[in-house]
Amino acid sequence: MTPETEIAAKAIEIQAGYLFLIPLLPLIGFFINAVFGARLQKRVGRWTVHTIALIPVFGSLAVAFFAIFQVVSHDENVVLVDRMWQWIGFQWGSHALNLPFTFAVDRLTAVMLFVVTFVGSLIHVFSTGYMQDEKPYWRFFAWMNLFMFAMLFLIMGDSFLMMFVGWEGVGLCSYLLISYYYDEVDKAAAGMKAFVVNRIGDFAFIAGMAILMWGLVGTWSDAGTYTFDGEMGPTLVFRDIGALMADPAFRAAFLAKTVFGVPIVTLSCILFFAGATGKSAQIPLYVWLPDAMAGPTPVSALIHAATMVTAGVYMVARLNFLFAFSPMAMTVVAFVGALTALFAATIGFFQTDIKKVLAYSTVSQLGYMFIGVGVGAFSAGIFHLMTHAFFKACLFLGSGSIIYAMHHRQEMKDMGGLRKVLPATFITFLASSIAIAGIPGTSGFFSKDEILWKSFDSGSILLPGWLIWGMGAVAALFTAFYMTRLVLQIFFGEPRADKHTLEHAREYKRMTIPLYILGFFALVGGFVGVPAVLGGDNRFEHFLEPVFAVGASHVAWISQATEHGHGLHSHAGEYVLMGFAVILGLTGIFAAWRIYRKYQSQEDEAKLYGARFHNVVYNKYFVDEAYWAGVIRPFLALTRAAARFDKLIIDGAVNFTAFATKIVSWINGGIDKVFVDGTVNMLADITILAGQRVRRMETGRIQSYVTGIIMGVSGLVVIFYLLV
Amino acid sequence: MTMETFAVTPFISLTLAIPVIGAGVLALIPRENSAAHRWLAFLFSGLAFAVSLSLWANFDISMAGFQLAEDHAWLPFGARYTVGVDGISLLIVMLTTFLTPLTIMSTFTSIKDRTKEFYISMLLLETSMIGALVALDMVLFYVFWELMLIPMYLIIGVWGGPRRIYAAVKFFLFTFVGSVLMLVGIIYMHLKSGGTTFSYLAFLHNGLDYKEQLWLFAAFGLAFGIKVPMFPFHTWLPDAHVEAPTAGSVILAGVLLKMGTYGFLRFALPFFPDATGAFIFPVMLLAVIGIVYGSLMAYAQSDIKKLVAYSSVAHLGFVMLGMFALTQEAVEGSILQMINHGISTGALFLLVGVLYERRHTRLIADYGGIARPMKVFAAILVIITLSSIGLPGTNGFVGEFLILAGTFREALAQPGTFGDPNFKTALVVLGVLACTGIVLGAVYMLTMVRKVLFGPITHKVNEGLKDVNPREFFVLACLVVMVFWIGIFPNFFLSRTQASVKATLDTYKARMVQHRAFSVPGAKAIRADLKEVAR
Repeated sequence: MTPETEIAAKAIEIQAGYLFLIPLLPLIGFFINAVFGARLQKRVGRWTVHTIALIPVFGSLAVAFFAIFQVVSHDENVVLVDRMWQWIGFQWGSHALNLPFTFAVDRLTAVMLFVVTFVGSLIHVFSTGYMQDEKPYWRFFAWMNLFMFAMLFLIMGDSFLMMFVGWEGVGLCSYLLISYYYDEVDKAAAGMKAFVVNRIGDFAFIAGMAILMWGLVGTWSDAGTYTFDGEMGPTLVFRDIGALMADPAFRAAFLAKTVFGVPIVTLSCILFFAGATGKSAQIPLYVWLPDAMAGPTPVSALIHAATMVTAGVYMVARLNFLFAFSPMAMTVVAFVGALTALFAATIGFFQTDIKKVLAYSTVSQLGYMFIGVGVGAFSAGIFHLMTHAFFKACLFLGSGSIIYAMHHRQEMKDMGGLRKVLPATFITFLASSIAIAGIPGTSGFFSKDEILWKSFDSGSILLPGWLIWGMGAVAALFTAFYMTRLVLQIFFGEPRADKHTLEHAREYKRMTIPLYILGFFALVGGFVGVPAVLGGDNRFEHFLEPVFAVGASHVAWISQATEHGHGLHSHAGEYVLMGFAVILGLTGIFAAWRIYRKYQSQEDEAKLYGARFHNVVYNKYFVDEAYWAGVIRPFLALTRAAARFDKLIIDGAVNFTAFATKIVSWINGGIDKVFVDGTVNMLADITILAGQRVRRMETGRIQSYVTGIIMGVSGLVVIFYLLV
Repeated sequence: MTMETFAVTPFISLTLAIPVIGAGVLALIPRENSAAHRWLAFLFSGLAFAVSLSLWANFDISMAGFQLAEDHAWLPFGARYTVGVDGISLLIVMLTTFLTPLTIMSTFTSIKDRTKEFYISMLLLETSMIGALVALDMVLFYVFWELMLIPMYLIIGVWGGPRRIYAAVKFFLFTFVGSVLMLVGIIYMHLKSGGTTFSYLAFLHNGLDYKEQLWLFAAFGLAFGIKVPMFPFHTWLPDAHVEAPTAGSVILAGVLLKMGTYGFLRFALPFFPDATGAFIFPVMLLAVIGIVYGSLMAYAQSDIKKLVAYSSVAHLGFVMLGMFALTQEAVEGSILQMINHGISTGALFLLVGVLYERRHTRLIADYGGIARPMKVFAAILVIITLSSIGLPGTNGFVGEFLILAGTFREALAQPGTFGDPNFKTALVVLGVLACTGIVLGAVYMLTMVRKVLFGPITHKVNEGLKDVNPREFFVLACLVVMVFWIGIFPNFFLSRTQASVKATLDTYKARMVQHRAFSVPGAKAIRADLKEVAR
């Protein structure tokens, strides 16, 4: 509990030379499809393309499961390490900066590996059905494989820099896949928006990385005290930083270090979180995610729901040993998470595009995960990450199945009554919806409840726990409301689609099998983390305990601070809060059922809720417009001003100098012609003239002689003066 | 710094001589025989690359000083023919010999008239660039430095676009003005050192006092700063690039600009350590202004070539920032970034050239949606763009990261070279501002990519555009390989520079402390210094 405690959390390293295969296999698939895919598709057929894409993905799934098994089978805390080569290495004096190209799998990575490879494979299978009519089929699968490579790189990289490769790599794939239909201007623009907004986050990430790297530089004295005089080299390897932070002497010295009066740990953590707000779509950088729905639906399921957008949560959890020591940073994470959870949920109310509803739902659920990791419940955040991957991937794939059946229409006004047309989609969609709404027993219930309880009980953030809890609970109510609305509008009531569409609507096995599997996990996936209060042993939390040991040592829970807990901070209180959250969820469902029993069109909704309110919420509080007016337009004006400045002032000065030189040389030339040349010619003329004049000079007039003498003498004086 | 080894086989002289011999051979070929000109020029520049590879192979990475040196008497007044390479120049020499044959190959169809003269110019340009990089005698250096101008002037002025004369003259005058001041500086140092030698190593051990250093740094710095080009001396660059033929742009951006940054690192910093200290903040400030300003300007351009030209201003801002951070990783990152810029910007100009050859326009608005007809072209353009904006895994990232990390180190590690807390604060601010270049870079490059490659095809002509042909593909593929090679195995390249950079920084810092312990956080102190000089 006290910061002076020594934490024995050093993991046992096991060399595992096969880890590189996990990201490498999809990369190979990418290469083959990128280079030969177009030709194979044309000459041999589409099946070659998706076979080439699926084999590596299932291959890395197999290798990943092997690795996971190896991690799980050890009772001790182990980490598998595959060191490949020295990526960047420096030596100067006694300093060294070593950034090895190393993959590592510890328990946290094992969980992520499971989510990414498992959900990723299912989505690949689904895509073979969903994308079957697309012409550049090969391009889709090439980029999906590239994404798998980058995502696996991200979670397996053992240092900031390695993680950053994957971090930007997934951003790139997101960019490529969002602008998959690149000849449509708005889709290409959406891809670019995603990349640029992510880059703003990455900018903070790089700055944080550089600040942290040098913040860690210091030296140990023989007496065991730590000073920062630059003797010890910097490091960006997670395990090394974690080990350093486990040492009380180092920690005390490191935490005392400041820049501009701000502790380095706080500054760098907030910068890292700013990076996370970009990748994981949190306020204020969430704006790219709804636009990202321009990509094909399996992309939305894989990248913008299950895996990539959770990278920020993973990063904060990975850095628990830093975040836990900065209450300020923790508070920022938790509060931004809570705010996003609430804010995005309200936008979900009136969206009419099913993918948009799910997109805002994702933003909101990511906010939940940040509440979890922000209050110090790192394993709860990761738990929600995993359950969310199941039910949200299932929801997105379900919407993909609907959209495919509806001939690529995704507005709810064209749906309704689809439960009979698309039964498999309906069942799985419903299962996932009750999971996300937090109905007891489903996976979403366990993970969400864990986060809410922990946020209420948190004693280490600077805000009262009940505030975060309250925001989360209200967001849960909203979630239940908009999800019920979504289900009712799509699957119930009278079909609103045209006859032709309904007749041709069907479900493909390639699409329904992944749906069933994900729907199943959405329902039961939570049982790995049943909390003690419900008679479970929360295996999930215990499994991740060693990874979060350093961070957890510094996180305080109110219920544990007092002997048996008091008031709501006790087992009894946990029941009360849990019951309250469940009631809120049911209230949301009931309210939505009352309203949406019969179909409400957009106009009906506007009438029902008040046109002005509906308008503001429907238009997402005009945040995009505000960004346009407040950021983008000034930027454009600035570039134009810079261009004018460059042309008029700087180049103007250059051209003016040239012009002035020309003028001077013109005058010079003139002088040359008139005076210098003139002098020469004049001398000649003078000689001739002189001859003629001299004859007349002998006039005998004394005045002329005197004048001549005076002028001559003064001329000589002037010349003399000038020369000497 | 010392001479470490003398060459048994004169690899450097061979590398220098081969292009000149090639130029001589070309002079003998009849005017009409264009194909012979092309292939001979390619052959000779390729041969120079092959010889430079043995330079690379014989280079010992553990040595800090100059290797494979040659030293012969040359001119009666003390100038000698002294050449050698160290870790700083080796990479840039390799870049030069690598880029030149590729560039020559890229011109096979675009240069149609006066091929003989063109390729002679290219070959002489190559020699003069390598010469300036390996020269260890200041007169020899100056000769090569000025010699570079003439072929480049001709390439822009003869084979350039419609405003070529204006651009060529602007280029020539701009760079020449700076160079002349440097010549004065060289002569002053020569006289000061007893009037017997122009040797680089002798100049290193000059006994110049602070006042003299300030003036001399200004003279050298102006020459190099214009070449880089640093804000506000950059306006010759966009004009030169826009008017130059593709090959001219590639060499100009790829190698010629590096002469400025190389000059700072090789001459200005080690010659004048005290003055560097005084100028460190203004130079870093100008570098960061260059990053931000260049990026804004790049975004505002409608001509692709101009966009790339302004992006060069931004990228070289990074190089200058890293160099003046004066930390091991920042300086190494800065050297690597010079190479990266040569590769990625060179490739960008080649890509623009590919488009120009097909459509004879460089305006972004004349394209759009060409990813469909030109698939391979689009893929390469995207890869090079990613390298240019520093995506991890490509070369650009390694350089940028090292530069930023090194800049922050000076600000955060204790104690730094400069004890002054104000200076540290200023560095953090500059570092953060430089980081914005990462965002802005993505904005202008991706906007260009979106407008050129994506969207529907807006001009009917573009539907029939032919994808890159095998020759173009070969040239570009070579550069793409380098993009990933440096990005994935940067240590292979960085390890060459390590010893030399360390030695340079060590001697530099030792001398600086010896001369004067100081701190210059801002204009106030500099004004006081300059006042002192004026008195």
